[in-house]
Amino acid sequence: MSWFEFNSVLGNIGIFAILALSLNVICGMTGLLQLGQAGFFAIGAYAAGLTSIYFTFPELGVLNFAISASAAMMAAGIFSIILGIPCLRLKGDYLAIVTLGFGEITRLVLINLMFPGGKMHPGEKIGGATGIKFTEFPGDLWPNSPNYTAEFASWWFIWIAVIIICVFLINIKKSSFGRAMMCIREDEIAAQAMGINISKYKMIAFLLSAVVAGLAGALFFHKELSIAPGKFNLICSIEILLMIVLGGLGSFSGAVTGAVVLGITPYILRHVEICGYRLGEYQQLMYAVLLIILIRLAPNGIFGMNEVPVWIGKLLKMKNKPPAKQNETA
Amino acid sequence: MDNFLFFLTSGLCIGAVYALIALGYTLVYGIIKLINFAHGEFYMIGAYAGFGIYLVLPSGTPAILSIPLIILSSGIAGIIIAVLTEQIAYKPIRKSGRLAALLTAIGVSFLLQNLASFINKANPLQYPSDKSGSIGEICQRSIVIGGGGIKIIQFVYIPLTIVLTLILWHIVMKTNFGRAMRAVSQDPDAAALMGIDINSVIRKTFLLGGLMAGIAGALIGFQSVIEPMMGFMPGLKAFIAAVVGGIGSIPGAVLGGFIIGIVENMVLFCNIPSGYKDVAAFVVLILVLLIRPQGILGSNVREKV
Amino acid sequence: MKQLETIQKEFKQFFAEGVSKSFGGLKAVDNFSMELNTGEIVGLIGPNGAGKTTVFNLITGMETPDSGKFYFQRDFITGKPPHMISELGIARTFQNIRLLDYLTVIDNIKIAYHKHISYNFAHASLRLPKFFSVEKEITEKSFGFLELFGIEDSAYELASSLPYGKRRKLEMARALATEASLLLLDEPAAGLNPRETTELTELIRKIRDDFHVSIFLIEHDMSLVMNLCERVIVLNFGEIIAHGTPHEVQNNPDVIEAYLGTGKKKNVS
Repeated sequence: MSWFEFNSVLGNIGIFAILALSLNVICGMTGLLQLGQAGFFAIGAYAAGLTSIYFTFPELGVLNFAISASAAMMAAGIFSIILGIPCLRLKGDYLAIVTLGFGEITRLVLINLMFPGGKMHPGEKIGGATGIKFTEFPGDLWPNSPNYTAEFASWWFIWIAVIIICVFLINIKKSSFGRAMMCIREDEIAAQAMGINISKYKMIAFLLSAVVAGLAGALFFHKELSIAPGKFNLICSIEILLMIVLGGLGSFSGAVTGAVVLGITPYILRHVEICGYRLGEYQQLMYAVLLIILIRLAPNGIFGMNEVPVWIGKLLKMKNKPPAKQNETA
Repeated sequence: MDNFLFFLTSGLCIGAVYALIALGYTLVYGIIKLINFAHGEFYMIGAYAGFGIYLVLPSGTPAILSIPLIILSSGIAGIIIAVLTEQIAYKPIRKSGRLAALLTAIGVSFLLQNLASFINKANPLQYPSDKSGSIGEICQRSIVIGGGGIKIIQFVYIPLTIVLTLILWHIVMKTNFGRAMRAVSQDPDAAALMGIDINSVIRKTFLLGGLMAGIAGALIGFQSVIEPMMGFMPGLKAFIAAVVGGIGSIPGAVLGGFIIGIVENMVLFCNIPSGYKDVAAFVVLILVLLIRPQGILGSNVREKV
Repeated sequence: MKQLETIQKEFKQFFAEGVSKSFGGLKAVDNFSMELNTGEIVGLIGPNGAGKTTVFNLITGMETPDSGKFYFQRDFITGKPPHMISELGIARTFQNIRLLDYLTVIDNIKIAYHKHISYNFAHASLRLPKFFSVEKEITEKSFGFLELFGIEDSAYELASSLPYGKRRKLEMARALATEASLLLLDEPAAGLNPRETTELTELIRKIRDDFHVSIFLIEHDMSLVMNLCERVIVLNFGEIIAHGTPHEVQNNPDVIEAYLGTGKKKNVS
């Protein structure tokens, strides 16, 4: 594998790690089955893409990413509220189907929707099945900055984002907010009895999950510079789900691990041959079998619900100590 | 007005097929609360099996004989794959919770799609229509209704669906087995304590569902191409139909099927670009879940505190 | 006279007036009225299916009454959503214990402090100092409650690992930790042996004395009801058929007819 390819693969895995983190907020931590994450990924990517295509200011350099990423997160956030409000009342399977429907609707709409080309693609419409792309000739648009590139998302840029987001989310998990969301997952009725406003927290989970997925979308556009609706399909949503199931539902470090394992596997498989069958060709088939076996034999995934696997904790003799007693309680 | 009739008829015909598939979904969901994602693949395998039988039949066989045979073998293939799936994939995780069941079903769906891809590597299959009097040719014959051509074979769909629905309704409402099915669907543990063999009831429910799906596969196979992914969208739409009509309700599934079929075609009638046709079903779903979550003919189930 | 009644109402901590609820054709609760003063321990008894848990569900907002009103500390609370009722100071336990099995014991208690948390999203995600100070306080308070109920040793174990008796205690501790002023206990003695039941009776009385809470409890175990409750309300088919001290109620012929008479027999749960 060439260095260039390695860069690209590492970057992709990073983006999927962020998607896995985002899905873990709503599925793993809050217990709501969401099968349409690819939809928010797509919305983020397209929002970032269109913002870059229409509103790039080369003098600003990296700030352009900040602009398009903000647009991506806002767009994803707005759609999550639109989707979330009807979904608040839905349980289990129904929620899964509606979110799946949302993902599909997004993909289908993007296949059919055309956007104005703007200054970057003058005289033509962009979008549809072929998608949108950033200009390959920046010099034509901005003679003063002929070397401007929108390709901000190098592999280390993405992985710094992965780490920041992971820490951010773990902090939320180990706080009152995380406890409330997990309470909703475990028992909605008990949660209400504890004073937790179920609708509010489900909405927070939806919003947070979508915004992070939108950010992943922005990173994706600024890596590929060319995006099309075909990628943002149900299989994509399912892959993300598979990653967090593998890593352990409820664990953010597990989500990243699952993304890495599932991301690396195709490349390993490509070079493995058993009895003359190149395993790489059977990737989807193997995913399907893997999913079925995983659910049966290891439903808790690698990390379970913990951030650090229990055995590592015991190894390092990390034990929680009760707080020092200052006063005797009455 | 002309055009409207065409789209209405198209909608009713495809709606009948959706209804058949939806019946399978609603039966399975009613009994074990599982959304069988792989149900669309039972339909696809039914279509392939039908085609397979067609290849085996001697070439002179009159269509009047071969068409029912194909439908029958598709149904049987549907039964086999449904029961196999239930025994191998779903039964072991029956007690493992909703997520496990859903993910396993998704896994089975992918598995079947990929297996079909391996077997049918090249072009999608289609009943050859070169010879006059051959199945393919007969199935291409159409008459003009409301300004558009409706294939004659489609007129079989609605009566067939109605007949099968009535048979199913009779089974569920009037037979001992049907009573057992309804008992298991209300409370599996109590039913088991009453001496009902749960495993047998569930297996037979899958059998019925698979039969419906397989037959639907044969029907569509007659009028369009057979390819590995053919079950995905119809499966999804049929599930939506079952939910819209009221999941767990047999008349609901049929009603939902027709509603989805008609709405889809009304989208085309209103000159909305055809790419959005598939979106229609999802929009209907979201509307129904917002206004009446239990579906049109469904009943409300409360959680006991 | 009306004015006196109104003033009297205002002094009652909790007041139910003519509450009724039907499910489909079945009248589950029929014209239920009661009052409760601060610090009282009142029992709600009746045969299975009499509507007792439904009354609790109506009070806590899980169901909305078809008619009638609830007042709590001069607030009209009928029809408010459950989380708001919890915020106002009414907490409950459940007949089938509803613990968060996959969270630790201490996290189960910390949940009770949810509505008292004074840090926000930013403090939590960025781990600002305010987060740490509030969390420390919560942890200390939570440990306090665990110690009160004798379950502090299992603080960092999963709630699912606790034996039944301790699970019941944890649920009560959690309800208490919400700093409620009215506790609704739904069959707190279910599944406990006689020794545990006596221990529970003492514990409930201690809670009432130390924390100044009122207690309204549903129970089938007559020994607990007789020993603990100052007043008892008897429900049958959704209607109140008797109301008074435990002794009065025990000798009421309607109650004996509807229910068991001896007071020593314990329902198998």
